[in-house]
Amino acid sequence: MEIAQVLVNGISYAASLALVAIGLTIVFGVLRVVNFAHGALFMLGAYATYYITASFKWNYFLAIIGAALVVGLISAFAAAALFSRYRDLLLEGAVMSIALALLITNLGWLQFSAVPRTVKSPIDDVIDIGGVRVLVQRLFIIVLTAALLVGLQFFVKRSRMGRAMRAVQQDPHAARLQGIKVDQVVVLTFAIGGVLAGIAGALVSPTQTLQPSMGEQPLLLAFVVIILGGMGSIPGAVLASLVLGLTQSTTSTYWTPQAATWLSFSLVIAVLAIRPKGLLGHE
Amino acid sequence: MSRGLSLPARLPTAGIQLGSGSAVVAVLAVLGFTASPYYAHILIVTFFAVVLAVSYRLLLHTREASFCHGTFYMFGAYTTALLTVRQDWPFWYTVPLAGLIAAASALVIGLPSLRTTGPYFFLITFGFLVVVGSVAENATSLTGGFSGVLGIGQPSGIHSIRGFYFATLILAVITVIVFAVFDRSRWGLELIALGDARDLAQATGTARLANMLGAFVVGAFFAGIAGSFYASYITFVSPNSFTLWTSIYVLIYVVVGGSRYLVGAVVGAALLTLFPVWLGWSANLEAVFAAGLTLAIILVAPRGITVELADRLGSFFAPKDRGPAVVAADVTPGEVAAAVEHVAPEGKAAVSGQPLLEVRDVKIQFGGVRALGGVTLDVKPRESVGVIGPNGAGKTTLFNCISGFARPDHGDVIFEGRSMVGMTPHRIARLGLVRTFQASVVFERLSVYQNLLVGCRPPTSNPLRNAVVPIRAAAHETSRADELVEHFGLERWAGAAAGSVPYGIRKILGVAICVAARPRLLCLDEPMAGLHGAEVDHMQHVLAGLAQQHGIALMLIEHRMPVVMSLCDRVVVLSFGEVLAEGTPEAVRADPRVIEAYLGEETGHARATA
Repeated sequence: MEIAQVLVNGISYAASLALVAIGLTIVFGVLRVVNFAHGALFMLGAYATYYITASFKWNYFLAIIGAALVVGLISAFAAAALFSRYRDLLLEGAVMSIALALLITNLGWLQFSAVPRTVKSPIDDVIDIGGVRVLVQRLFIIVLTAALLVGLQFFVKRSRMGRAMRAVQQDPHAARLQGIKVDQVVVLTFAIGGVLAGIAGALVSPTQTLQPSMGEQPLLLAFVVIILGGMGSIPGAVLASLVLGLTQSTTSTYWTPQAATWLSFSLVIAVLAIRPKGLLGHE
Repeated sequence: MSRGLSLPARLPTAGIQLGSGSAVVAVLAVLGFTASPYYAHILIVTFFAVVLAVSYRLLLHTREASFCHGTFYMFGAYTTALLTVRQDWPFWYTVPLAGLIAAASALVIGLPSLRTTGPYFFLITFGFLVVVGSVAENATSLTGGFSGVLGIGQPSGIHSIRGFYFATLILAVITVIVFAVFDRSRWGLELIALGDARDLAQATGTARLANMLGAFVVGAFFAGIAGSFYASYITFVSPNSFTLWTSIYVLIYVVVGGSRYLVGAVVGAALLTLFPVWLGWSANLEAVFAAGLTLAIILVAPRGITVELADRLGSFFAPKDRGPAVVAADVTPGEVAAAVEHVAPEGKAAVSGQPLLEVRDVKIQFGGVRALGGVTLDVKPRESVGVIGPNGAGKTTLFNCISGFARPDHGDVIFEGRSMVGMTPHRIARLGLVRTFQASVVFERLSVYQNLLVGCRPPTSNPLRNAVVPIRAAAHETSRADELVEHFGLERWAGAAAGSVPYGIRKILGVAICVAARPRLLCLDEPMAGLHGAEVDHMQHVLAGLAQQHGIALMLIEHRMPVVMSLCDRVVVLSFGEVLAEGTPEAVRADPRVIEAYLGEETGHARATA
């Protein structure tokens, strides 16, 4: 059934997009910081997975957790060192994240060099469900992304820290007056962003060769996703990922992959021209 | 008194700036003859960086950072590449076209993007960068795709690297001069005003979109021209991440160097280009250097190198600021009281004639909240109308609807016989309806004198003149500003940054800026807020004078009843988005419905039955 295949392809591509985009949109939503370092963190997640599986010989699933923790910690550290003081200076925040991205990526080149590395995942087979073929890895990504989304929603809506984050998002000064330690929230938000980037890197790593520049393309795509979906909106990021994912899969199946890229981008421009805040963007 | 655009540290005088600039150019010219090709190349790359940074910085005055400057560079480069290779055009003919095409793309990108601000604007322009980059990679028939375009035509007359050196040096010098002229012009002043307090700027007559789009497009034009020369110099262009990295670096140059001063863009570009290239590092190490330096600078000198240096060393070059005196010392309470008594309502010239402003059944809703449920009121020429009501009654929303900052869902706003609904705020201001804001009172980065200049629009607005003529040479504006300084008693603060003067003076300045804009109706949103004692009396004296001596009608949102009672001919009471009562101050004060709205039901009944 071709349509089912196209649908599944679209959803699995959407899941990878969403996975990277969510971390980006959370940091922007809560802190109004455009985190360019997100792609570099994604790359670190992939490399961390490689070293944990190849050097420490852990199994892949534990490596995912390990990568998430490593990248989360690095991100939290960077936030504590750099971002707590400059919350109100938007441009400086963006430039700092750019500088961080440059630093991490280029240190990555110097350290890892261009030697191609691969991560072997225990679930790299293909299964066939009623004529629809799907990589188990991709299925895993879909399931995990969905689980993460549910977990995040829960955390943001129900937990105390989640409430603190939402307070800071709405009005950092008022939040401070209410006794919320805004600096902690900053560090925590970046940590969450880092964890998500790390997980994304870990999950995507078995599907491609590792290079220090591997974070660039996902970062660009993640930006397109959050611009389309509305910056700061998690449901928006999910919706935009689905739109782009399905556009990509339908166009490349029925037309050509080039056309898919064109169409996706034209779609983004069209939406922005009519509604610059994005599909589900607010403010 | 500093009338330049750099504040609050006094920069070296124009003479010193010109002198040192010329010295630098002379040194560079000499180097052009003596340097080896290796060093010449390094400097050429630096000159390109300077052109990009300086052209990028203009829009930054408005506190908007775009993230697609590299795209304009690329448009220029590809224009020259394709025209010389495919159409055999001579290089020099392609240069202006490269600039124009880049400028046109900025127009196309700018119109939708400039509807957004801050991080949204930043990311939207980034979105365009990504999209255009992708098109460049994929439209193989047009752009040559990944393999790019080779064998780009060389400029006739330039046969060596030395030739390119001088061509790019001249380009950089011209760019710096042109943008320095813009900085000192009315346009530059308006851009800074838009950056400081965008709403206030618009409410006093400064156009938002035209000015910002202009800055965006002109910046793109120069980037395009730079791209054109770059393509010819390198002889080959391809998409790769050319646009992304250029856009990133341009931002870093300006932030590291300091965006407040034009020389900051030059310093940032030079520092971050010269050193890595000179040290001959690998691209990776170069990037690590740039990144590390950027992080260090932002942590240590967050406003940029030149700004931090200027603030610390500025006192060496400039006379000490005389400290601002306290308001009360200027005018004794006795003098003020005597002056205020003169302006009792009975003493005013008779208010008559056709209404100046008619608000007809204006309704507006925000989501589920009905902010205004059908408000109708009039203001006659030379009249002073007070608008009072509990918080949340819709007073500021009413002002927003009148001045173009909100569009009513229903009803009309007619000023001097003309409907204002749908007009942009600056257009409304230029027609004579000016308003103030509670929050942004003045343009804090500009001096008191410059604040007034912003409001003093020349009667005929010529964009070319506005962009080119230095503001301090503009006789019309400066003479009017001088008058206003004297009239409002601002002499001792004229050169100080508006953000540094005492709050009472700031509020007076806020009114003065509006008066500069020649209003026939001035809408003041809580002009007394934050003032006390003699300051209130002083402000009241000023406002009364506006109506009396200048014939300006006033519409005043105010919570201080004594002020409303003595200043206003009529009072309108709003409550929950509707007009509750209207009449003379005394009548309104005694109205039981009004008392109830402010103080509660029982008090209302008690008063009424007392």
